Amino acid sequence: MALFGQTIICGFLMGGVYAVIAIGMTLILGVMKIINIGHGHLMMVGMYVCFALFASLGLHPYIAMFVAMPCLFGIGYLLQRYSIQRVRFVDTILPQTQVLLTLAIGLVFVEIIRVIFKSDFRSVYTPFSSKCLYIGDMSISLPQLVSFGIAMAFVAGLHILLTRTDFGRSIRATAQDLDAAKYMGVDALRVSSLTFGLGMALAAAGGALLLPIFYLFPDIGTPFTIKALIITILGGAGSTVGALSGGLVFGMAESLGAVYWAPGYKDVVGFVIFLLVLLFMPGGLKTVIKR
Amino acid sequence: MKKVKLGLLLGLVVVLVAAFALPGCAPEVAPPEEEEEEEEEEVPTGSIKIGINFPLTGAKANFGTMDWLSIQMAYAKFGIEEVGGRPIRFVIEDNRGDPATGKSAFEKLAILDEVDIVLGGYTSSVGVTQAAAANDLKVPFLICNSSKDDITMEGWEWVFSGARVPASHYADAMWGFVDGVLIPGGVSKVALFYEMSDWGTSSAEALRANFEDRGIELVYDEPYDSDAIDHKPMLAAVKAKKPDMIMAVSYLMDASLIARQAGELRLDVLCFMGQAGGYTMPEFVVNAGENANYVLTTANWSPLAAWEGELAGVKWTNQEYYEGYLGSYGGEPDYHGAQGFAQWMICLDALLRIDAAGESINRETIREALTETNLMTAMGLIEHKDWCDDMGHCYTNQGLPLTYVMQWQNLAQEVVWPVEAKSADYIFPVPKWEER
Repeated sequence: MALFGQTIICGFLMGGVYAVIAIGMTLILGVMKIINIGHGHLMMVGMYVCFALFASLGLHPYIAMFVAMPCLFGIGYLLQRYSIQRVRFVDTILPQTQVLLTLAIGLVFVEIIRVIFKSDFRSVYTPFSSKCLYIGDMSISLPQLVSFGIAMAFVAGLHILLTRTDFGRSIRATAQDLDAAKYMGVDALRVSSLTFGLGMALAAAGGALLLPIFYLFPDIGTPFTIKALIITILGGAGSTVGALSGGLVFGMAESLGAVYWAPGYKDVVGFVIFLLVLLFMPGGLKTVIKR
Repeated sequence: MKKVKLGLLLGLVVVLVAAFALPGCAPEVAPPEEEEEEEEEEVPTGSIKIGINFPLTGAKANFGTMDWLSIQMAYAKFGIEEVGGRPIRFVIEDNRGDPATGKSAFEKLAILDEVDIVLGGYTSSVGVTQAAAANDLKVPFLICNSSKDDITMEGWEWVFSGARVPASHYADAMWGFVDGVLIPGGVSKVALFYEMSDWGTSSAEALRANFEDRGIELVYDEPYDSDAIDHKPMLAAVKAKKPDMIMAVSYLMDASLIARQAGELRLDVLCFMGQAGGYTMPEFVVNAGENANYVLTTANWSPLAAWEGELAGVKWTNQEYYEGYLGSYGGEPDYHGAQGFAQWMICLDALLRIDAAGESINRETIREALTETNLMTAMGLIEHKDWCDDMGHCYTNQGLPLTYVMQWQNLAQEVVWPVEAKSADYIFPVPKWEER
């Protein structure tokens, strides 16, 4: 029983962090209909901002996050406004040019970070890093618990932004029908740019939450891009509730797979779920939740 | 008309038969006698080119960089810049820790740069492709670290182990410790987990066989993904099996995470043994913190080992290498660096022996010289021999450097086994997490 409980705790807490990393991608995909392949790489940039502040000023990543988020917001806004937007509605050799552009942007950032910080592994280790709460034989990592709480706050905040504010309504209108939104007076270009920036800021937040419990190196982004994509499809593009539920499902699937099948195959569980969702529930979990 | 056509047809047949039959009827003419020309041996001139093929960027760059920096230290230490009147020149290629890139880099060094020898090898998967290319292209390849057993089990005559220890022998010293200390101390159930890599699986194969030979029950035996963020599900499953001992094969960052997360789960065992790799690196204690304490590990090298000698008229000691690296680069080396230092010593020794014998330095003479290597280095005595072990592994051009058991005590590594080489007493059984 303790093993099952520990497995669920691990999966749940990690799933929350996955959710906040993925929610940026789901926002961008929902509004702009672009899969941002550079998502994980830009998350990595946010992590390095936090790491640099920790290494130079001793700022904990939970504090440094509030510097990294505006930085990544600005980077995302400028990228969307002055590069991605240029290829969004033009005829190109490949219909997937926007996707390839995001990949190229991500790779450029990886190499820039590698030149600055080298390829060495970095970590943020504080006395708080190994603190735990114990319930019988089960342990709950404090950094993971705090990360989960902050992640939930971000998800809730985004949900409120999207449902209770004019800007949020503009975002949802643009996501539902771009032309109709324009006719209704929505500045679609501004909304797209701000949305991309917001997506990047949330990715930076996810990275900052990850930093106390994982390590950092320039190539860390790719696995998280894949996880974010799976969670986005699993939860349904453009849905905050979908991203949250997708993240939790994915986290627990990984955890249960590692314990009850084999740790070497934990990723297989996630990919199988991905396949099944694409085949049988292409709208994602949000379609089930809405019912 | 019919007669004309018949005539033409018959004529064509006659011509065709003649065309195929007549050449066979001609008398054989003896071929002209070829004048024998004396072949002049081509004596290489120009610099002696040493190919360097390591991961200098990418996820494995810290290991490759340590290898290369240690080679440079050895080059500077022994001060030999030319042999036989030919200057030594390094030609450097970065393989980024990728097997395909490693092979391409090797081919470029061999074919375009025409190097005389290649020093390389990290990780095992890259070492495999490099070694195969070396044997195909007939270029001597001196391995630094790549430890997968198969690399020197293929009978490749152009591949030399240098100071590398085959993965299945990393734990050679450990078995003495297991037999003399752990089994009498109550270890009968072991949980084994290892990276899903060539090195991890190769190591696990040997570990598994040796544990089973000793009647030890493997209550957990699984590979894991080294990129996993959270190893706690795996460690929770291990904890549920109640092992006496954990045996882990990990690179640096997963070793650090595993040590940290084992502490979080309060995974109490009589001892936690790592198989070198990440568990020996100075960065392990930086990233794992106090969770590193009491972790035992096999090791291929220790800065405390009293190896010393003389090469090219220059005296050296192992301790001097360690302090020199620490002073020059601000970080401690581990066995990867010591292997790099030894690698240059082995290469230089071969070049000097060829020159002393009055032979020209080329790929073939370097290969022959390497087969006769018998040299004391920072990794101990290095020889290139053909031999077979108890597990049925038969190696070519492979040595067997000494291994040790180390233990992290008060955030520092101590040699605890073999007893003759110890710097501190081992701590076994290790304290429970709640008591630390």
